[in-house]
Amino acid sequence: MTQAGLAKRVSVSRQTINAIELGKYVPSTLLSLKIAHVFGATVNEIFKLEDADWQEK
Amino acid sequence: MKTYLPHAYKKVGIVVVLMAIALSFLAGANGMEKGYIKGYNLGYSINPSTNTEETPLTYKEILSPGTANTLNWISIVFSISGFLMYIFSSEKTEDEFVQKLRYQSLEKSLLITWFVALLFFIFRQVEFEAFYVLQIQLITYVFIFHRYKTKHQIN
Repeated sequence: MTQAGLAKRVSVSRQTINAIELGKYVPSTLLSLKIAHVFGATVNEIFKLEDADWQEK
Repeated sequence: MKTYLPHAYKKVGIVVVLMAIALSFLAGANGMEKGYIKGYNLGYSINPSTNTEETPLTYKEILSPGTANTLNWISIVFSISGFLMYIFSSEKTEDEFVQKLRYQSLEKSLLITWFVALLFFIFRQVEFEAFYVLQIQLITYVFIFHRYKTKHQIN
């Protein structure tokens, strides 16, 4: 599936999907659930916590 | 940050701001004329070709002070409403990522405005009215938000 295709399915812009892929933007719970739904997967299967996420910012 | 106007209002906002800029130039016509006359009279008091003294220019106001003041106020109102129109117009695709960029721009513009206002307050170089604070914040917001959009290729 293309970025544009996914963007259309979850009603966001292609740039938003691109920013998520590049790790520049962390999506909301709602958008994460929508993306997971489109792929027929759970949120945990698509998004993973990284070590850096545990560090204080 | 909620947007209240359709995307097309962005262009309307830009036109209104341009009108405000034109009006502010017009409102400052007397000042420009004074400056020109002062410079002319200082620099050209003697005609080098004939070695005779030239007649100095005399100031004759273009606009009455009342008209200039009114134009100035209209310009301020146009400027603020144009920027607000631009800011509150939605993007072609208004989603949560754009909303995040809006919040970030708003936060930065607020900090920059307070910093600039503080500098003016400390050094007291020019009279700094409340309307200028509003305008600086709006202009800064528009520039920062535009920069974010360019960075993420959002049209």
